[in-house]
Amino acid sequence: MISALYVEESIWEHPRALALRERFAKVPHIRCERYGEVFNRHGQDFRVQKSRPALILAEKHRHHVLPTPPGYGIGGQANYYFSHILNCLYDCRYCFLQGLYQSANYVFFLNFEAFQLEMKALLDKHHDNVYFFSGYDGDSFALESLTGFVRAHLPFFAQHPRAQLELRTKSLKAKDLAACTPLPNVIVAFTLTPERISREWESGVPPLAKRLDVMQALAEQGWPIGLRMDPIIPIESYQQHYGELLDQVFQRLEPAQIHSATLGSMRFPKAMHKTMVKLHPEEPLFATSDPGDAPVSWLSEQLGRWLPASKIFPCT
Amino acid sequence: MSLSPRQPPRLGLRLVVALPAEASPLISQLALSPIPGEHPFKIYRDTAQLHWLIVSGIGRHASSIATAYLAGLSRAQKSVAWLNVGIAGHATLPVGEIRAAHKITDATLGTSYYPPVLFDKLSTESLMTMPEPESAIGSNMLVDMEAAGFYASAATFASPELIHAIKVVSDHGMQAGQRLSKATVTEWINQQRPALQQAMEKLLDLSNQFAQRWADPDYYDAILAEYHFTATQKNQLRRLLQRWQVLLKDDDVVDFVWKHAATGREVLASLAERLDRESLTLPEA
Ligand code: SF4
Repeated sequence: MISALYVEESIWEHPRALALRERFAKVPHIRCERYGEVFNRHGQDFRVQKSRPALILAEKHRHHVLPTPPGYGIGGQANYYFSHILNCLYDCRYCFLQGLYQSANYVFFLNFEAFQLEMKALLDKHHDNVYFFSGYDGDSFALESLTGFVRAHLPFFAQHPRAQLELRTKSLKAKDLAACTPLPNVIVAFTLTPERISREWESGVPPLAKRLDVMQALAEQGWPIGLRMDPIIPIESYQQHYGELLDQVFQRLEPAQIHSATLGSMRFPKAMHKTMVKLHPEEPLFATSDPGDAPVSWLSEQLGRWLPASKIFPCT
Repeated sequence: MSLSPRQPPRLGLRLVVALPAEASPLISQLALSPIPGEHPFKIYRDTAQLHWLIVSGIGRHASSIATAYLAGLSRAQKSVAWLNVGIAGHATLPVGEIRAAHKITDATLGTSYYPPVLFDKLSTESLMTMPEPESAIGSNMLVDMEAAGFYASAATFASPELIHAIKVVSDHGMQAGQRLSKATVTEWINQQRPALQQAMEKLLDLSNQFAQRWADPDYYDAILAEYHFTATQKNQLRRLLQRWQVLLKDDDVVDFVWKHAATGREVLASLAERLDRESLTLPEA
């Protein structure tokens, strides 16, 4: 799975680095000064690296938790995101990470504790709930067996009910949460696309039915569930496919079990789009023109059949 | 007149070696011959002019200059793969062992480069490029005098995924003035021909992937030959033709253009208008 392990010199002996070096004993272990030397090199090829990613172990020194871009949120006023890992196990053709980073290698920031210190400081700064979004730079659970990040952070959120955590995922690993007591302030958000679309454009992502099983089990246990249809893939027959998807979801879940639903269109900043086209010039997703806001409006209206407007967050 | 969609990409390797003794096994392996004309370096290529090899001489500076010279002379495109092959010292590895470099450090500048781990059958090692031969190699890494110069220079012409250095262990430290016999060096490289062959094939595969992805779309040259386009418009045309290939593969784009456009600007407008009518569909299940 991993072609090489790069480790920053300063954390070569860090206990988490030692454990991962032992786990990946058969691949080359390569020392670097700072992860950017490997990760940010000019001219790397995301598409080629995606087939043989390396793992880079690094230490994050600042900006552990950052304000979200405008329009990113699920009803709160104070919204922040954090990334303990950069890049993702899966290979969704529309993923913006391929336009954002030069490299498809995984970067894992080992110094967990620093994330919690910054979250604590932000909680002290705000009087109301503070929302922390994980899964911005990669799936929150897909590499959990490697990072153990979620497991290590749940106690912090159990102790700080004002801290709202969103874990965003397409991974079946989310089922590990079933072994923990549900926390009302930890939202397990499933990014969903209709099965046919997922099979076509979400390489490596587990089958939809299995993910819905996990979602249902966690909902029944009491975990707040998020529905994330972001981006909506604007195929010609999107109404049929997304309509079926909503039916599948609401056959399994009671509306009350859903914390929030977000919707977004498939749009990229110009430079990012250009990079993605260069990586996949043969990709139909990037060859058709932007259908505008119609899919988001339509899906938002459909969701209104089950959910109150206060739980639906369209982003156009 | 029938138009050819495009020229197939011409792929090849660019090999940079320091010594004639390192070069000779590769020259016979790739069936290379000396190129005619006056050049500051000995240069070889195959009859199809795909694979080229340059003998740089010793030292990172020489390697860097030779790499740049070869890139210019052979008109190396960005998708061409570059390989530095040679001998290197190591504190403990047995003489004759082969390693790919996963990290190349320039001891003079303190800079490091990280070629990706690409070759399944080759073990990898860090490599330090020194300004002088090392009499005592302390740390557990390969030591040579060229790779960093080669790498820095090649990185200006090619994707870093395509630049690699492969070394055969020759010694555990050399005294100043000490020389290895040419025949021995040639023999070490010769013994590693199967491993080198596999590595070169892997690089060519990768190079091929890049070349196909970066190739001009079908009929790009044919349309350029008939209409005038500014530099920006040429980029727009390239992308429109790519989109045509994806969305309307079976339709004749040249015929469409002849019918709908009298100027370059009209070519772009008519193609865009036609393509924007296409919507995204799922392929047949
Ligand atoms: S799951 Fe999300 S982060 Fe991972 S590849 Fe797909 S879109 Fe990108």
